Amino acid sequence: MNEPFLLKNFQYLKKELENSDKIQTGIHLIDNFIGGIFPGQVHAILGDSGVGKSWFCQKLISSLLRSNNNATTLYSNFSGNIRLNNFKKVLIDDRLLDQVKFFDPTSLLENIILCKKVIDGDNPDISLLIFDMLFGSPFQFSELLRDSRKKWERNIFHLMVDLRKIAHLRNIPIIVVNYLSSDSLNVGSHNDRYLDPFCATKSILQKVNHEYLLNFYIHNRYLGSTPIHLFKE
Amino acid sequence: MQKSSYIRSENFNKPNVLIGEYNKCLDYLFDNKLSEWIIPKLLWIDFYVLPLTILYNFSLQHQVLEKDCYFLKIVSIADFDRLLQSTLLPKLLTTGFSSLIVNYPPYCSRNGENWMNLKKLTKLGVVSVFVTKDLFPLEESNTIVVDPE
Repeated sequence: MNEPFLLKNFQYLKKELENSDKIQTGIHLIDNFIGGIFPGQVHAILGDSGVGKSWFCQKLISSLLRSNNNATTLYSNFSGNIRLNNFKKVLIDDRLLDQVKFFDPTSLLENIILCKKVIDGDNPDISLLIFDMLFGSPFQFSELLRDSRKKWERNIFHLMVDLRKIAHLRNIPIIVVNYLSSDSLNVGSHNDRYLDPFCATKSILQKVNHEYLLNFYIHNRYLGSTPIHLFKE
Repeated sequence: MQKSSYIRSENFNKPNVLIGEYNKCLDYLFDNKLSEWIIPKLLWIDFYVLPLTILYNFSLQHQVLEKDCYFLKIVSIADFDRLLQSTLLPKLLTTGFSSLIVNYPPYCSRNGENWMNLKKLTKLGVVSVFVTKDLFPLEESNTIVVDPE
C-alpha cells in the first residue's frame, strides 16, 4: 500500500534533530564537537589507503555495542579485507563480535542486492549499517568505457537512493566508506557527485607531513570544515 | 541557454529550472533568489531529503523559513512520480502555499509526463526545479545554468 506523503515544517525537523539518539563515536574530540553520528542519515568517510577508515568504522561499532547490549551492526566489508585481530583489539571485548554481522561482497552488485534485501525486511534488528567500500579499486571506475561508466553511475545513484531510504525508514545511521586519493584531499574543494548529495556529513581522514598525525575533518557544505587532530603516535 | 549564475527571472509563468549539482543549486537559491522566489509560503519537495543539520543551519540563517517553509520528504523515484501525478500538489498550492521548489532526481523515466505536471503547477504558484542536466525543453522554462560543465 502506498504511504501518504507527510508535510513537515522546519520546527518539526529541528525537533527531530534535537531528539534523535546520536551514536557516540567513542572518539571524544569528535563526540564533543558534533555530538556523534546521527541516525536516519548517511555519513561518508573518505581517505587514502591505510589512513584509518576501517579503524574509524570499528571504533564506531565498538562504541555502539558497548553502550547498547541489544545493538547489532551489519558490516559490509569489501572483499573481506579487514584484519580480525585488529578489530578485536578495537572492540576490547571479543564477545561483542557476536553482535556484528559480517558481509563480504566482491562486487558493487552484491552490495546493491544486500540493500534491496534490507529494504525488503532482511536484518530488521540492525542499529548501524556500514559499507566499508561500496566497490573495489577506484581505478576500475576510471578505466570504464563511456557506456559502462554510465551504467555504473546509475547503479551507484540507485544504491545511494536505497541507502537513504533505509536510513530514513529504519532511522539508523549508515556509514559509507570510500577511497579518496591524497591528490584530491583539499577538503574545501573536493566534490563527490555520487556521495555528497546523499550524505549528512562527509569526513575525510588524512595523514599529514609523513608523520602519524591524523586529521579528521567534519565537512559539510553548509556547516563548513573543521579539522580535528585525532592522535600522534 | 544562459551560461552564468545571473539572470533575472521576471516571468514566473514558466518553471525556473536550475541546472547543476544539488549543492550549487542550493547555493544559488539561498544566495540570490531566496526572497524573490519564496513568496511568501514555500513547499519544498526534496528527493535527497536535506540532511537535518543543513536544515537547522538554514533556519538559523534564514529565520523566515522557520515559519514559512514546509517539506515533503521523498525517498524513492516511484514515490516522486506518484506525487507529481497526484492531486496533492495542486491542492496544496491552492490552499496556502504560493511557491514550490522541487529537487528533481536524475534517472527518472517519466520526464515528459512529469514536466507537463510541473508546468501546470506554474498557474498556481512559483515553481522552481533543481535538475542535474538539461532534461526539459529550454523554451518552456526560465533556465539557469548554475554549474556549467
